[in-house]
Amino acid sequence: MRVTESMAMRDFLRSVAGTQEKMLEAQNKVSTGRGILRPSDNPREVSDIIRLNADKIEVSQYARNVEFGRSRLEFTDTALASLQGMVERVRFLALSAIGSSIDSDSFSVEVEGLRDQIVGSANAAFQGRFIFGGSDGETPPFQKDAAGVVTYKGNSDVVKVQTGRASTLQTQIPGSELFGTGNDVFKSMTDLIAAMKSGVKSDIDAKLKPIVSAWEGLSLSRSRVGSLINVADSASQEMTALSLAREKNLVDLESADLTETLSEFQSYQSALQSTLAVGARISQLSLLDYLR
Amino acid sequence: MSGVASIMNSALRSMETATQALAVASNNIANEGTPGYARQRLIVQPAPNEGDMMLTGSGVEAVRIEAIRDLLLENRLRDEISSETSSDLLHSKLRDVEILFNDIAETGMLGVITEFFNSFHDLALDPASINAREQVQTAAENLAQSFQTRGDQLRQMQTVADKDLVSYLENINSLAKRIAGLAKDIQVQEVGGQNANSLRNQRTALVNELSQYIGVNELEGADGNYRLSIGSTLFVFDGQTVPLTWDTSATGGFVSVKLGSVDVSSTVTSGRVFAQQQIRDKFVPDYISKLDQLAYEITTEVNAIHSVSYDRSGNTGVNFFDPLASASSAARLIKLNSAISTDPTKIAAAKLVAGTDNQAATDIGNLTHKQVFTGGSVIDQYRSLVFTIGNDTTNVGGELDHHAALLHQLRNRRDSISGVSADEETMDILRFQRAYQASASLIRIVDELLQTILSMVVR
Repeated sequence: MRVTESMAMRDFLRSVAGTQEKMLEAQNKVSTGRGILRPSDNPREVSDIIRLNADKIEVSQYARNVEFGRSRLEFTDTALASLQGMVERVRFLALSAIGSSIDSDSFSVEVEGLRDQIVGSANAAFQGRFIFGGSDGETPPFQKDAAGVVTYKGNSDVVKVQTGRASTLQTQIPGSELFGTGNDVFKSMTDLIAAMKSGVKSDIDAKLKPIVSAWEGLSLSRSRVGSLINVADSASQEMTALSLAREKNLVDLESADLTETLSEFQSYQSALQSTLAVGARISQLSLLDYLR
Repeated sequence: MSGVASIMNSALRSMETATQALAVASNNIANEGTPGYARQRLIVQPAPNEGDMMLTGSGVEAVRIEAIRDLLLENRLRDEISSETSSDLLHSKLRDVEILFNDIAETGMLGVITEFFNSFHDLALDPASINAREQVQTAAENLAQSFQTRGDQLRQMQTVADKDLVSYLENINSLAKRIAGLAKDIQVQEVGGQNANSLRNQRTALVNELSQYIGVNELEGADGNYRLSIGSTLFVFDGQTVPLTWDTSATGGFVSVKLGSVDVSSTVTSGRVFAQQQIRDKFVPDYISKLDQLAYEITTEVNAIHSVSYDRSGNTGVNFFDPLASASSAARLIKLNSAISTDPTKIAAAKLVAGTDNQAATDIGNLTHKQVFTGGSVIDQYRSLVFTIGNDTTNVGGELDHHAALLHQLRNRRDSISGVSADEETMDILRFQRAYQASASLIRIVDELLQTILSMVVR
């Protein structure tokens, strides 16, 4: 084939430009740490990367939900423990009133105090929201009127948060179920106080039973909360494992193989060097140099 | 005597021919880098016998100057210039589109979409919180804006393509006029028996330049009648041109290219005009409609839950986004209901009339993975849009590589045939220099012969 200077020059420029482009691409991969820089580099993989990233974000939202639920449940557990202690004390006082020769009226003062304390604890708030109001976190769930009658103002909604595509976590127990369904502990205590004041031991004994069942109700609530905390724990462990696996997939897809990219870069570099060396030689060669 | 004189003549003619050949070589060297230039050769032949003597011949004579070119190759080269230019332009435009959806470099929409739905999950954690409600507002406004920006930018790409297309027409018409003028000059010169190589070179260069704007077919009749057509519609003929014009009668208020009264838009298959048409009419509209569909479905799905749910005061029946009649322009129209954007307590997070529960917020949050969108989930639908854009760009990039490689090869093949080689020309110069010197020596020898004869006479 007949070869002209312009052909040699064109080939030279094309291979220099081509190699420089590849070097720039490799350099970008190294500096960003990514094997893919834009959708057109590998549309299929980019589509997978978007899905994996979306999954990762979704899972981290579930993790946040679980974390929030668990803290609220742990707080609930603490509140339940203190409620249980107070109801236990009421039971103890009632038993003491029955068994002692002291005027039972003297026990009623402490029981009255405990009733207010229980109202206080049943109105416990986590991050500014009442935890025993059902879904209503803003209204104090247990309210005492002027006559001393305590009414439940919350609702019976069971509050849940999403912890997976098909799983939810109950994060609180409505006040209506707190002391066992249909069990009005405050009325029982008011009755107990009245019985103590009257001093009739058999009356006191009769009012003890609802107190005991309130204690049992609380105990049941506590064990429910405990098992919910377990659910939250295992959910969060599962999620950690899941996000680690996802992260690995993502890293595998997204990351540049540094060794490979660097060795590519080096091979482009030496290709460019030899192209430049040869190119410079070509343009020096001319018949004119050998004449005369 | 006549013998000596004829040697003199033949030597003189040889010197003239060598001079002419030197001129051709020097012209070749001078035009080494001129676009469209085809190297020229002086075609010579033995001069016919003059006298009645023995048949020695009477030296050399120049017949014509010939440009060395392969017309078939030049046609393919022109077509390839046209195709490579359109692929190149198309590819760079698609690269621009790609930036709007490059989630690898975090310039895509994945972030705003997931943040929007997650803000509802966060609201579900504490539906009474004004702060969480304000975050939903912000995330929704970011999402709407993200759609609007992209919708506007895509639309703008169409407008720019349309404007650029119009701006090409003036150039194309002026190139066509010059080509028509040259074609006429060539015909006149060649009918008159002269060579029009240099005009032909100029015409080739202009047609190649024209081909970058718009793909044309070239036809040169045996009678020297030169024609260019776009598709099958004549553009340049008989030294005349039909002007390319435009009107906006086509749908979408965009320009259609017309040749005389014929709409040639659909017959253009290469060149920048083609690339702009492809961007404006094929690629970008596809992306816009996919983006619109996504915006429309998000609006519809979110509203479907929100409008039957309850806000803090137990009100229901309120849309979250302004409802859209259809997907058309949805990306540019998506907007928060003004009731929601002015009062975050109007966000309906509850499924129950009391307005205190979080089920509606959870349900909207769960839309991230619910398979209720045309493409599966909202994420699936979004990534299918990104895939389409990425895939189109990859394909056009592949075409560009193909055309660039072919163009490179064709240019080299053309140069191999028509290109000037400085070494070759230098060799020719030496050769003709020697021929000139030899002929000059011959004249001196003849002169000596004549002097010998003259001195005999004088004596």
